[in-house]
Amino acid sequence: MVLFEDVAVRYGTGPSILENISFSLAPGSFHFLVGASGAGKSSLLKLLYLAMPPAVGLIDLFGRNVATLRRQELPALRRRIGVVFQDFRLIQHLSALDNVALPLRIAGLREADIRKHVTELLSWVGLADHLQDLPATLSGGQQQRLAIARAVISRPSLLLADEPTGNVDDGIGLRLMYLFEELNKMGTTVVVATHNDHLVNRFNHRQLRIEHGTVRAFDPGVAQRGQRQYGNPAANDAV
Amino acid sequence: MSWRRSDLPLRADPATRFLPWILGFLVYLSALMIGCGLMIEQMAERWQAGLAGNLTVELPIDPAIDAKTRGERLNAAIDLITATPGISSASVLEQAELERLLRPWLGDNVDQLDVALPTMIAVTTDPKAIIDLADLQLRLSAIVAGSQVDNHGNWVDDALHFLRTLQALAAFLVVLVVAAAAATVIFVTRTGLAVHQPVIEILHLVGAQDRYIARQFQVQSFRVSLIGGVIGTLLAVLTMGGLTLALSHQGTAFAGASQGIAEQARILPAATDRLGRFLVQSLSFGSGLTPWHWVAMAALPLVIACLAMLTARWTVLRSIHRAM
Repeated sequence: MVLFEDVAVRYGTGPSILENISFSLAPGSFHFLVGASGAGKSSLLKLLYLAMPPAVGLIDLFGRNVATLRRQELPALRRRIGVVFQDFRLIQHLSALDNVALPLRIAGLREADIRKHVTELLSWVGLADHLQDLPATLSGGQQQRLAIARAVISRPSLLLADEPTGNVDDGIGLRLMYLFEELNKMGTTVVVATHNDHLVNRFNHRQLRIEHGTVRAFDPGVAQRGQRQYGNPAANDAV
Repeated sequence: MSWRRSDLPLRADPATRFLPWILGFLVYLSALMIGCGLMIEQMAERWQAGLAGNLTVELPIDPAIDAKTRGERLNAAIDLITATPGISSASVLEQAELERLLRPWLGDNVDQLDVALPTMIAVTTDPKAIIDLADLQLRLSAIVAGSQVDNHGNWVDDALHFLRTLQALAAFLVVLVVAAAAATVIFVTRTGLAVHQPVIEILHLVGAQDRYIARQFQVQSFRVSLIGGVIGTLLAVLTMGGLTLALSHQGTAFAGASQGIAEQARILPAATDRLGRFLVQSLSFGSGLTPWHWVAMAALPLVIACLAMLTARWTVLRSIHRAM
């Protein structure tokens, strides 16, 4: 589903933020993206949700080399990716319902279906009483749940979440993680960027660790065999 | 995407709020120009139609010839004229009538002037007939030396040339105003793109095509342009109607001048008397426009709105493509 080969991230003409990134994500896998604050987690996610091109290297998404994609092909790929942004990026003048409905409307679904699906999902994340509320009137935790609802409403093939539990209490955080796991069980590939060790340790999922400007794979299940770098596709498959 | 719902808060933009007024003013100017152009077109057609089928024959007076001979020659000239194929009738303007027509130009004592006024013959022809004027003049000169046949072609050509120049000027001004409207839409659209860049980025990241974003600007531009266009056109129609009303009630300088033109025209053939009436009528807005012209005026806001919509679309697609 996702393949990175010798990818580097650089902003403008500045130095590389990340280098020699090679890993792959199998369909239906669940990964934590971990690393210290400022290590480059958000930059790596930007590559994944096609917000920036790599400085060098190959990125293959859903079997397509992103370097060869034409501009008009990007939206179709992006619709298969759900993103929970660290700063939520909700549209402030739209109601909670309209924010979550956005991906469905862009995809051209019927308004009646949109309303039904969005209402169900917002009820599930505990925002049934806030359908017409503007984001600014919601608490930080409610906004985060709203952002998550928008990311998952279209049942994406790949879900990317940047610190999705950063603004919610432990109970809500756990509930959101269970939501991600449910989506994962339904076949969605999930990548959750976090620096919450407690969360990472609680859920026994594979990890992409950003260390010293590159990405290393780590599988808690085979931790006793030590860390290994994900540069080798055969090794990836093994993990 | 619904026409009422927008993912971008374009209606709240300060630049967008002014757009209907700016476009309304520009449409107002355009409508005035177009109205003038259409009136001029109508006037030109009426002038041409009014003078078509009319000739003036002028027979100079030779004092050396006695009245009896002069009368015989006049009868011979009229016989020749009426016998010419394509000519329907010919009538001599009486001396008193000629003097009356000349009075505004030569004063009340025109009958006491020691000037031999030529004999004027108003000729009506079949408008579709082709008459060899040079041949007619040659044959008339054989009867009365120095006879002149005038179909007013030179006068009409000059007048039409003047009207066409006015029309071209009006069209040029309309083009300038439309260009200014397009530039305004481009400016407002670009401002909107800059102001709403964060939201546009979100829309892109959740899978919006460029044309989805462009459509939001299109709809907004169409809506505000239509509002401005309707207001501008209505004001222009009211202005032109008001001017017409004012002119028709003034009844002094304008009416006097028009009457003068009409009277002057009567020194030419009787048909050119109609020219004077046409002048008066044509300068009246209401009678100067046909129903099709009114339809064109009513369609102006829609045309401007469509133009604004396409301009906004072009601007968004071009700007987004450059920015990414």
